[in-house]
Amino acid sequence: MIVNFQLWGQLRQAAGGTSYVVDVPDGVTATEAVQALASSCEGVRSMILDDDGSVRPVILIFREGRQLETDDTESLLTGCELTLMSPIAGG
Amino acid sequence: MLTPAEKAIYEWQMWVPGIGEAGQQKLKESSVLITRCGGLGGLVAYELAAAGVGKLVIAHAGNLKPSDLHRQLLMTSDWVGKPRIDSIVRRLGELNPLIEVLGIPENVNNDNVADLVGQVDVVVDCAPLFEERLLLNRETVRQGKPMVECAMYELQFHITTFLPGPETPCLACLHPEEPPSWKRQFPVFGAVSGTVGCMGAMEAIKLVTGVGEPLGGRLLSMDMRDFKVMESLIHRRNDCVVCGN
Ligand SMILES: [Zn+2]
Repeated sequence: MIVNFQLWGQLRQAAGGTSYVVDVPDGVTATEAVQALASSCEGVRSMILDDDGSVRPVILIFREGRQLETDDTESLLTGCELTLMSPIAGG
Repeated sequence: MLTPAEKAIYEWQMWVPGIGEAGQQKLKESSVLITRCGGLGGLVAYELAAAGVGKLVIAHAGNLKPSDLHRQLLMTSDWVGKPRIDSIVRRLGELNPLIEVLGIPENVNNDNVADLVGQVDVVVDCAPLFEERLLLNRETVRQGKPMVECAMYELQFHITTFLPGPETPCLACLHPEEPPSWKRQFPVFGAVSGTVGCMGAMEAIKLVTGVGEPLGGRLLSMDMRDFKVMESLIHRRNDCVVCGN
């Protein structure tokens, strides 16, 4: 099934665009979909995943305007949209 | 009591419903810490000085560099090589000599953070490094002070407000560690830092006066490339090392 990602922060430049689509097995969780994105997009992999392949806690995941926990167990539906945000600061 | 000179200066904003003389008096009696005071914090400070916040505490180290000038609007080109904080204090004083501006030629660090936060009612976090931001966050949570969180990157920015108590997350709930990919220098326009700086100033004004609804528990993001706006609910982590149970 298809999961659409909207990317914010440094992830955009790293992925080469504002959005990214991944094809994942039916019934995956948001975290699994994020891991699939990181695996298929070399530019964002180290920003999203730590050394053991877990999603870094600094990466914010949103679905339908709500922040998701990294241990959210709800299965995604095909065509759903997740927003990923990497930390940004001032200056 | 507001003086006739103050009433003359703040007349237009006192016409805003809910402000009046009472709201202006709250601003006069209030104090705000801004750290740092560059492209983003400079606009926070400028707007709060204009609005008549009685005391601004500003922490910003270092000397002015040419690469600051495209966004740091409290600087002047003749000041390159000289302390930024001197230009900040001078420019704010030129705009509003009726307020107190305390310029600290240091960034937030372990030694000064408790004193800096302890001097004010509201903190606005504008620092470029997560080490500073997380330090400031820890201290504002410890002292029970609200912190307005402003950030930017490229043509994007976001803003939220961390309120004391259990209702909203803190910065460490969102970013429990320093992100390894973040760099001190990054792409941005001054118009982006200025926009989110003005919004941060408005959040501080709302917190002080009680007018409007602060962004507690809501992260407002904008991409100025297409003016796409996103508002997202953000939440506390129960296992947060700063504010968690
Ligand atoms: Zn927290």
